[in-house]
Amino acid sequence: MRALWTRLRALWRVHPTEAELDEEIAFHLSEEAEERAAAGTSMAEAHSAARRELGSTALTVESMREAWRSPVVAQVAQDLRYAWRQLRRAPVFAVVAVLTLAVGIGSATTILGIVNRIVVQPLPYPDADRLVRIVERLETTSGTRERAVAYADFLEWRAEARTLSDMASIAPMAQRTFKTSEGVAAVWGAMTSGNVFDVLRTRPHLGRLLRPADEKDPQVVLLTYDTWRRLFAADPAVVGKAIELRVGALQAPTPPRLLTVVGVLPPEFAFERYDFFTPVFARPGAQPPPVTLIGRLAKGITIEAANQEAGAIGPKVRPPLPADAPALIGLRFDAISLKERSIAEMRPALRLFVAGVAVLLVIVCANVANLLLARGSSRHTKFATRIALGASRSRIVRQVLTESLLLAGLGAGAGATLATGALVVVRSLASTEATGIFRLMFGTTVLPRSNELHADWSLLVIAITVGLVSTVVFGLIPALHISRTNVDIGTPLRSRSHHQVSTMTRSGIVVSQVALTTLLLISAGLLIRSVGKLVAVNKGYDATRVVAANLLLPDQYAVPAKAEAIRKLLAAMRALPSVQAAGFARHGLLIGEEIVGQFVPAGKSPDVMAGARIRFRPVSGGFLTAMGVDVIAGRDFADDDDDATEPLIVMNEQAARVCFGDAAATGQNISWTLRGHTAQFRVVGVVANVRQSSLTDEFVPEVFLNYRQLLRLTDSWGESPGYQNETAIGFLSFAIRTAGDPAALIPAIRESLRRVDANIGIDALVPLSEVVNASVTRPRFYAAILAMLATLAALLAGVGVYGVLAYSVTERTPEIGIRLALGARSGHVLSPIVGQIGIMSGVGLALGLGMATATTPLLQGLLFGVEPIDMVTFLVVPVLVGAIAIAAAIIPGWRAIRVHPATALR
Amino acid sequence: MAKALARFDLLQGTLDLLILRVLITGSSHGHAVGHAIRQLSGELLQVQTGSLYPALHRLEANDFIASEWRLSEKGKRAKYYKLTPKGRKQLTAEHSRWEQLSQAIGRVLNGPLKAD
Repeated sequence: MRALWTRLRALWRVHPTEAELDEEIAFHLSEEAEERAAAGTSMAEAHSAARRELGSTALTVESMREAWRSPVVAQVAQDLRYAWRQLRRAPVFAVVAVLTLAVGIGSATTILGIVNRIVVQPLPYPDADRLVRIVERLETTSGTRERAVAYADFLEWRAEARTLSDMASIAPMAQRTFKTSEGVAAVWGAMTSGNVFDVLRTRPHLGRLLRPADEKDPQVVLLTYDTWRRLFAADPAVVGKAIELRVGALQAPTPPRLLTVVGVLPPEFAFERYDFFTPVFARPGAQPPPVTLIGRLAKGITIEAANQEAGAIGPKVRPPLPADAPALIGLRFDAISLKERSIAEMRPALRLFVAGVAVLLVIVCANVANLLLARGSSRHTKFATRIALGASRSRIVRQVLTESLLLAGLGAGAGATLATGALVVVRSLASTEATGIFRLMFGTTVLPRSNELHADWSLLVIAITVGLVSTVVFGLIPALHISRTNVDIGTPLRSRSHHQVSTMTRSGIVVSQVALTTLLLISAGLLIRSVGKLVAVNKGYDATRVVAANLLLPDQYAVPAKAEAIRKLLAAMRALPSVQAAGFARHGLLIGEEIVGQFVPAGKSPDVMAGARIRFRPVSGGFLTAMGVDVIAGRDFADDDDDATEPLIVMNEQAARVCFGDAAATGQNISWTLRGHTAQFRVVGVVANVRQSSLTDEFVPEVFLNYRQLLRLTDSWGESPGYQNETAIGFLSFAIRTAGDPAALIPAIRESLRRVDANIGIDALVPLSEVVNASVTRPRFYAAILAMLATLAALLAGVGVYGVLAYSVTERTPEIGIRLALGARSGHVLSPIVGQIGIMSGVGLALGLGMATATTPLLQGLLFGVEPIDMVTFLVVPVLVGAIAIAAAIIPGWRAIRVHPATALR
Repeated sequence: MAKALARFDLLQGTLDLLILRVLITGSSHGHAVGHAIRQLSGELLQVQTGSLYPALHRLEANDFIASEWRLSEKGKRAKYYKLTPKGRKQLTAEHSRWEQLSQAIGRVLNGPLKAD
């Protein structure tokens, strides 16, 4: 121990420099020469003596230098060179080991990178842990709702709050349009208080951010990076220019506002998918829109303290609820961490990923341990000889450890490279292909901040740490094995019992690998089936061969002009070749729903229907047909209905059940009350239920009105044009069914739209199947990640099985030779090997199935339409595992048969 | 005019002991140390340069001696070594061990001859 300490210290000591050493020796030699000269030696002799001295001295000096130059480092360098040579002499082993390590380290790094981005830092703001959202939660008899706060209340709240260092307000704006050189584009922005970017602590990419002074002069706008890129071609000159903010689909024509662009936000900034931010603004006589509140916790304040304060301030600041609100069970004000919302969704899946990669790592370590054990066994003889000849045990242990370190280093390097590539794949798996309003619904990606998901230094640190940890673990196994070797030249160098024990260990390791692989395969299988079920679920409509279009009509169009445009557009679309049906719907089928007015079927009282929450959908004739919704009874709307005087209604099955029970709905009457006016409708048809915004939602009752009839009704009731527009026209969503490929139809649609009205803007024009795909991105992402992990595990387990079998065949070669020589048939030779595979796979499978049965119920939350103990998966996976085992056994089996008795017995 | 000298092979530890002993009288440079050993041993021990300097540096690495560059009497720059307190203790310890060793050897050599 002391020697080690001394040597360590010697490492750090400042050794005499080369120059000093030379000078010291030179001095010595000159003194020597002078002495000799004084003693009477001739100059020539003195010189030659000096040269001799120099010669022998130089050698010593050189070895002294060598000794100083960190003897530890020199030895390590020597060990490394030796290890490298050894690895090159066993290339198969080295390649397999490095690749196995690379797989383990690469996948661990990838998953940890994902987890880091999602859980540790999901929000692109500094100190995001200190950001909270204040919500008012109303618990009523019909459920829990969150309520937005009036702007004036926010100002009051901000003055009162002590636990928050600052508060800001954010009010989502209804769809707007920007006018750019390309035309109009739909944008979704937010009105904020001037200090919001102080609270978020953002820095601008270009220009400046909004500031409190802007509240006095709100005709400014701040663009997000993505908006700037998409709509303004990332032109820096746009800063300082004025752009027109025009109304969107849902508003009455109002004069556009001219906003000056003050800056652009950085690419990594995102807040709730908004495209732009502008200060709070209300037209004269109007109120600013209601807001949501965010705040930053003051120094030293806990979130519980903020929560308590919110509970105290809230009731003071909020006005009382309106009289006709549903009965209140509870009213709460909460301060919720802003981070929570974004990671709450992903948490169960993250646990799954971490568990999955942990399992994979165990398999990796087992494989490498097995590889090293096998190698250790085969070198056992060599090491024993060296020890017998006097090599130090610790030296050999150190050499083996160095070899493991080298392997780990190479594996870490390869793994980090793999991880970089894997992250690119992960990013693309997580991203949704969505444009326009669908981008708003589904976002662009499942992972927060996924555009920052690239390899960085922290990734490298993770890789190196994993590599080092795995080295220590499995580097010790062969090292300890060797140091425990009892070297006695007398005993036969290949002790059978020793090897049997080692084989048992290795077989045991492989059995556990098979078990873990089974577990992973089952989990992946369940998720894959889940996605399949999701995609194949009966949505109620047929998304194949349908084009979904979301259009923008110029805001100057009054309501009648819009209605006329719709008619013309439908005619144009229906005129296109291969189009089978086309229809218009306010808001489309995949975009949100609302409850407008109250539907009361004949014979029921309004109170009974109070909690019914029937959704309201104005459509044109042909929409339901175009969407492929089955008509169960009666009929869909037809174009003639546009002008019919009797108000007609089509409802879905759920609505029919809610309104009329089991009785036939067709022909029945139903009244609709909106803002004090009532109209009587007759049911002309019942259609199948449709799943709305997400494929996992329950069926809701829906009622379809003819949009033109609706327009006439609201007009007759004296509703404002703005309200009429919002109720009947809304987002211009069209569905077009084609006999052929929807993608091929899109250019034709685009062209015909232009010909109808050059002012029409296109917000989104995509095959509906793409939108549906976007809605399953999340579960598909989970399934893909787990499938990758499971595939890697299966590969590694296969390699593990192969390794053990190959070794066992090599071991048994003499035995096989004897058997063959004694006349045994090849089949007999194979039976112990087959037996080995059978036992390893069988036991492994059984264990794996057992583990799966116990753990898959934990996956419940991630599964759709699939039980945790799913028969199909539980049958397919064992077959798969069996196939892998057989595949792994082919080569060793082949070699066993081909053993030539003569060579085997040598 | 080199004399033919009997060559004694000194063990490494013994050389260290001798160097420490020489340095008790004060600090010297490497050449002077070698010279002193030769003189004190009556020319019997001639330390090779190749052994002397490694020994000196080893002793320094172990903190038994400390070095500094000074001007020699003749005005040339040389590295002078002196004993450290730790070195003093080491010298005492090694000296007594050497005494014990030589006594023990002496007893074996001068002990009674066993007559069969």
